[in-house]
Amino acid sequence: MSPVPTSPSAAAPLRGAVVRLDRLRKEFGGAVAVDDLSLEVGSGEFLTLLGPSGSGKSTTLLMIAGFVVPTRGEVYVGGNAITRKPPHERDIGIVFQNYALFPHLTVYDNVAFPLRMRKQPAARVAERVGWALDLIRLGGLGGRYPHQLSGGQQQRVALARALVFEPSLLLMDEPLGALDRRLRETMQGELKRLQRALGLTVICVTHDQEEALTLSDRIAIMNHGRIEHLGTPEDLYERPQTPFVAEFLGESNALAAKVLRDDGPRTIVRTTQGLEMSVRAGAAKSASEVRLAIRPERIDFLEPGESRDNVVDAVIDETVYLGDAVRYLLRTASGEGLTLKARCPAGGGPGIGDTVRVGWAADAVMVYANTHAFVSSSGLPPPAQPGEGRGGG
Amino acid sequence: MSLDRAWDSPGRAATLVLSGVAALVVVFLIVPVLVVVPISFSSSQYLEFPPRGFSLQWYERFLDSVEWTGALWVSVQAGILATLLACVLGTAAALALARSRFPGKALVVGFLVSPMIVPVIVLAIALYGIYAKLKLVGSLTGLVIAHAALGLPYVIVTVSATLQRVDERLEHAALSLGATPWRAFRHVTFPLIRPGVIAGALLAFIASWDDVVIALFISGTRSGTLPKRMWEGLRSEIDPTIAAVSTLLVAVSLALLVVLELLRRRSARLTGAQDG
Repeated sequence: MSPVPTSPSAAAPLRGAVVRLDRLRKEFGGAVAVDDLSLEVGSGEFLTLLGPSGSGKSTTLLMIAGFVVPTRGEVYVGGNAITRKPPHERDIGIVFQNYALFPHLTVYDNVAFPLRMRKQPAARVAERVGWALDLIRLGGLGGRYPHQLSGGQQQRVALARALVFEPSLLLMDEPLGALDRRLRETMQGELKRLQRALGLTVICVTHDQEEALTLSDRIAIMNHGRIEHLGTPEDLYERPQTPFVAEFLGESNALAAKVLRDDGPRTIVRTTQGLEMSVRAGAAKSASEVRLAIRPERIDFLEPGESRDNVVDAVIDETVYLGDAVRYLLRTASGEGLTLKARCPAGGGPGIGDTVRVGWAADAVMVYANTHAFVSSSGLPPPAQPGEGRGGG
Repeated sequence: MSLDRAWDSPGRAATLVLSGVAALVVVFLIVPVLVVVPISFSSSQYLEFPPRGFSLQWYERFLDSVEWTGALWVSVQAGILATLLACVLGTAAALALARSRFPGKALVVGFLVSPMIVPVIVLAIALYGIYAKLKLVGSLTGLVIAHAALGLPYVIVTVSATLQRVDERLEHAALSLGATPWRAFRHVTFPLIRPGVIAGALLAFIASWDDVVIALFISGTRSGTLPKRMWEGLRSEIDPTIAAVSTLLVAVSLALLVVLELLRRRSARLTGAQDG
């Protein structure tokens, strides 16, 4: 990786602005698309809004960009309220889904566009466009038209165009969605490198969890117009605050259960199918209904004599080969379906119809009060949650 | 493809019959138009076919007559001004219709396109009534406005069709990059919808160029258009000048249609390239 060429105007990085959303709300007709969303993004931070379609993430992005007028609430960039500014006065760079390159303009003219709109002198335009094209390593392609470029090249031109005028904030809408897998991985690396080197504040919207996990400093998982959980990728994956997050990010076994009794450092619960298991004590009130989530990779096949907090015999219903791992669909004696994910065993491992002994730790079971499921991120805390995101929820 | 084959399946005989019918239709529709061409070069004093001899005298007479050239000038002026007006208003209307949602939109579309649907005679009578009050009868201004209304639907239809293929995100991109709404239109939207605007302009011009009904009602004796002058000429002086003028009108319309087709092919090629 060659060093990022520094801006000729300023040797210092661009220094992204702090962005703050204050109880941002958008209603369409009677429907609430974004529900009093508050969020703070630090200078130079890469934050991703991740969620299923209809979760309000795109509407939030459009409100920051100025294309959707909030019903109420404020957007602050660098301390200034920009909520009532028209889009062209906001100085926010945007990388659109499918890039939105101007098809009738060359690469050079596309990148020069924001500078010309700002009536910069020709010499300065040439200098800045040169800088931006070097930044994305497309220095020689200025004369091409967008349709003559590959998807990855178009993506980089869109990035150069959004950065060339040194915006205080960069928004990205599904930035890598249109690229094939190999290219996406390369671009992820490049994007991250640029963002760090330039100190950009980035807010990205995606439904692709892999993209979110690899690019982001923090992720806000959105559902029904609210933030379900805001935190670092590790936070979200290891300690999801709500069952929605546990199921949306990665895989998890979702089970409904009832709390039976406390047993020292453990609490015993029983699923609706009758499977009893011990979970971390204090996770739920006695006799309450709870929802459980267990990551498939936290369930292990047990050797004879090996033990865990929870051990159960099960029959393998199906196996799915994933390349680096195998997903096993198990059925316990009580009829509970469980998914287990394990590295491919060298000797081939168990097959369909085999009876196996599996087990998992009490700590591997995430317990959620049933009442707040899929509603909000407040309520019962999950196991240990250091560094709960700034101003989220 | 499969549809084409289904169409072919009745066999060769059916295809032949169909081709024959199509050829007859073309003959009945086109040949009468083409007949005026040889007549216009006739050396005879009357409108007769087949023409006798060859002469450019009728074109000469046309160009020498102030009445005819005056009418030509009115037609050209009205055509160009009405086209410009229809293009500006039609493009603005198409943009508003494509990029915004408001109650009663379908009604507005219907209203704007109505000059294409309502019989021209109805439009002409209505305009005459209003123009009489506004003292616009016989004025070029009145004619331009009326012809613009006639051409407006064509511009709206063609520009709307082109706009559908222009991603709204391109306009958002322009705005996000610091372009004012006007500059976003001028530098991004307009270049992309230009083929539609030009196609609409040509059709609007032809609508004005061909119109005789509205001109009969609202253009005065001094400000008559070429088709109106022909209409009057047919009643008094039946000489082949009419044929010469007709040939000229047909030639202009034909030339515009050729331009239109070339533009359509070019834009199809460009969008095809963008898809690839």
